[in-house]
Amino acid sequence: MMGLRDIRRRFGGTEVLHGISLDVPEGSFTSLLGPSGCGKSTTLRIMAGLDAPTAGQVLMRGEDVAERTPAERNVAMVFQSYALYPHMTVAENIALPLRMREMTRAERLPLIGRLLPGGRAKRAAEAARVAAVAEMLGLGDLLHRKPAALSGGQKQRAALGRALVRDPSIFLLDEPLSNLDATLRVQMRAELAALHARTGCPFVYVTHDQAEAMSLSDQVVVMMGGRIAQAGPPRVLYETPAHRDVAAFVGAHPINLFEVTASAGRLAGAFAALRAPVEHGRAVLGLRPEDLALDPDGPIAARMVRPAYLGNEAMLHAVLEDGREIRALVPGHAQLPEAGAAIGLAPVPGRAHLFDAETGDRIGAGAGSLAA
Amino acid sequence: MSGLSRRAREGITDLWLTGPAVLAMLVLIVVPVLVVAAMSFTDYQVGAKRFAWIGWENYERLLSDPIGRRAITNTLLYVAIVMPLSMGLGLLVALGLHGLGQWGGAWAPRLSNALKAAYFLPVAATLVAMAVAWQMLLHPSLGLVNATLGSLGLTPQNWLSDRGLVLYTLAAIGVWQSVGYNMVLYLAGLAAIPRELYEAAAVDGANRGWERFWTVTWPMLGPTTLFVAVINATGAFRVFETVATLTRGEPAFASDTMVYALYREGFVYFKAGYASAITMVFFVFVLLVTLLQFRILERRVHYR
Amino acid sequence: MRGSALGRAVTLMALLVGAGFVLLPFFWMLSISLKPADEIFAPEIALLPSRLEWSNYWVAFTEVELARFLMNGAIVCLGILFFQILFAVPCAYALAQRHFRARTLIFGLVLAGLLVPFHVTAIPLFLGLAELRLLNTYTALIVPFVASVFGIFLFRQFFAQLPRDLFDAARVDGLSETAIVWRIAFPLALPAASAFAIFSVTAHWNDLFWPLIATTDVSLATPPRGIVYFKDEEAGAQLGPLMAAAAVVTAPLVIAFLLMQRRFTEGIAMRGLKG
Repeated sequence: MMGLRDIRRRFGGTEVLHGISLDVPEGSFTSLLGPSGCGKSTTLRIMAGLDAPTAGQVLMRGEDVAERTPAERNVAMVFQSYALYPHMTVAENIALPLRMREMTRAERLPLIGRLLPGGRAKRAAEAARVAAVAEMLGLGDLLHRKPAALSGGQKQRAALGRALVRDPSIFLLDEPLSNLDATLRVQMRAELAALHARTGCPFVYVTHDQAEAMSLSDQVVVMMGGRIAQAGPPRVLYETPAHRDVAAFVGAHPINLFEVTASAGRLAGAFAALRAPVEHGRAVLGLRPEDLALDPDGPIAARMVRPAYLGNEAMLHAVLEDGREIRALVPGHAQLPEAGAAIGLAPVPGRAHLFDAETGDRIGAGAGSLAA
Repeated sequence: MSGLSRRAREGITDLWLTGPAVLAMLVLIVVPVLVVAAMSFTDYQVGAKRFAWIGWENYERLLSDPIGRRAITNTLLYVAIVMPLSMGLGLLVALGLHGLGQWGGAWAPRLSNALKAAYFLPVAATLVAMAVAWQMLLHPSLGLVNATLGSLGLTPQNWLSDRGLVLYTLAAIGVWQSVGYNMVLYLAGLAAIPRELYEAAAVDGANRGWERFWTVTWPMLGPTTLFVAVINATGAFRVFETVATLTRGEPAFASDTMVYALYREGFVYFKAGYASAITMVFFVFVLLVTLLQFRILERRVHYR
Repeated sequence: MRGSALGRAVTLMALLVGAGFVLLPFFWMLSISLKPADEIFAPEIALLPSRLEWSNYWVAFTEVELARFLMNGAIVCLGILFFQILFAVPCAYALAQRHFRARTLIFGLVLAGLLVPFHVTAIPLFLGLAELRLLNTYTALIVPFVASVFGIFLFRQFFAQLPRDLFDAARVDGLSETAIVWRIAFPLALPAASAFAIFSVTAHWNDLFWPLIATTDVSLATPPRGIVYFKDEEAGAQLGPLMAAAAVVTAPLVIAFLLMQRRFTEGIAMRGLKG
């Protein structure tokens, strides 16, 4: 549906996008995930046509749309700040894009427009459409309020309504939930998923919240420093991160990263029990806390510093023999070792990740698997 | 859409949005300023077929001619009277009203507001009409001022036709007109002073009204005062309405001012070249005041 | 702030007396405008008229064309305001929310323009309008003021505070840039616009300098110009009607001020930034 081909964007002397290529398939929910400043919002604005790339192509259904304005591309966009027009009611906000598309200049005029025969019919159709969208979003009672009189969640719905009202060819959402509180965010996440399912329209969703990206998307594009670090289904990203930074960014709990040296196919020091796919040299080992189990016979020996009990689970803070910190996530019902106790940790087979020490790229397939 | 590239369309949009205003600024401000500067070096007369470049002659004449000098010194004197008086009175009124607004009781803020409106009324009123009213107040035989002086046993004066008095009379009207304006700016300045500063000053032993004023209020009003001073100075340099309505620079140029002189020379006597020179001198004075403000502000920022 | 009761009493007295002095010309103007002629010229001066003599107002409206002056004032002020907003708002929007190469240059021009008092441009404008045979027309009274650098500056500052998203949303919704200016930006700027309108209207309603230069035709006189005519013509014989005319000319702004004190104070306080 929408494709970017080697997009570059320069602001003054600095290039912020260094060649972005990606495809948003018809009907997909694609997330652009990354820390602030990684270029994900710029990428979205280029997709929308609000910004133009310095080099590269923007394609829609295979056609280059560089010369088309956002309206000509028929994109709908939801902004982080909602960007509702403060001087218009919710109904007027939702109706505006419809009015700009459907009515002629004369029909848009406040009084005369009502008298024109075509204007009257279109106005009726517009009102019906607005009502239907409002109904779908549960905004029915709020249509005559101004945005200032709405709560954050209601503003969000109104902004969605404005995007939904006119059958866009693609939906672009720029951190739409980041101004909501945590409970509402989770609730809106479910509504967005339902909305996506109902419209069948491709969604491109910019976020810095990996949980949002993972839970909503069928494709997650992780961006780092103006480049795509990895793109793929959430499961692929989680299970085989292509880069150290992707591993660090994806996942509910920060991954444990250790600089290690390999010699003769084995890691040295605390991780001697792990096999390395490289013969010699330095590398970075990534072990997710949730992939470490408490096991007295585990190959990784550590000393407990402090358990952080969270109810359904507990985060164990421990140190390795060489003094480096390691975290492991265990079920909440497990017997938690006391501070100072010696513990053993066992990595889940196949879930240890090894990255190049210099480039951060993933090393080999099935890297860092357990030694037999 | 059209065959034009999007970039070209954006460029046309920028031109469409800014073009009219830019063109108007060029035609109505930039070009006239350049023309008046150039004309000040000519002997051009309105309606004349030709003119000659005469160098600095207009300026020399303006500065050597007693009448020209008179307009400049009168204006400077007018500024020197109006600016400090109207600022000082404006500050006093603002301090009084600010205090009054904080007294207890429901009536105090309301009275403070009513008084504020009264002091501001001359600013909102039409100065020409009010000048005519002043003329009646100051009328030699029918005016309230002389009648009051007479009943007090003092000598009545010819306020607007006495050579020694007329400029001060105009200055008094100027002060009357601008006190309310300064009051409003000072009230805003006073409202912006945090209460904690007064509490801190009280802890440090500054309890009396004057001590509080000198340790907190006056220093905190510094930026406001600078701003008010520049506005008053540039405003006073422009004095015209009262002169044109009440005295026309008379008697014997005793109340002539720069803007009135440029009006008279340019539009009554049609000496466009000479009037342009007066205009330029006036412009330089106004610019100097403004640039002085920038200098002071800059230094303040540097040493902070 | 505490003060002794005596201090308070002194302050209050001083403020009341000062306000009395400030209001004195207003009082005297009204008083004379309501006095019969014989009382105005009586050797014994009374503060108040013995009876209200409305004929002065009647004379002011019939013997001089006071109504005409007021209408001219309204035409000129509204004409100026209309064009100022028409030119300033799109330009200010482009300066605040669009990126183009000449932007810095144009904003520099605006800032430089703020330094130029109108009086400086008067002679060339007069000569230009004379060349175009436009003196003694409404055009001559309106045109010199249509490029309000102050208006551009004020609206630009206002638009620069508005979030970029709002305008991007409008672009996505299919509004042209012109539609964004008048449907989104301008309605949002109404508070700034109303302050600017007060600033502009008071300045031009009260202006004498330019009408004195640009018009000699009494039928084009704005209110202050009309007052000066009246004053010159009657040479002191019609003091009552003259005061009545002065009161009528002052009334619209004073009444508007009393009704909308805050807006007015804001608008007029801008005078200092550009005269």
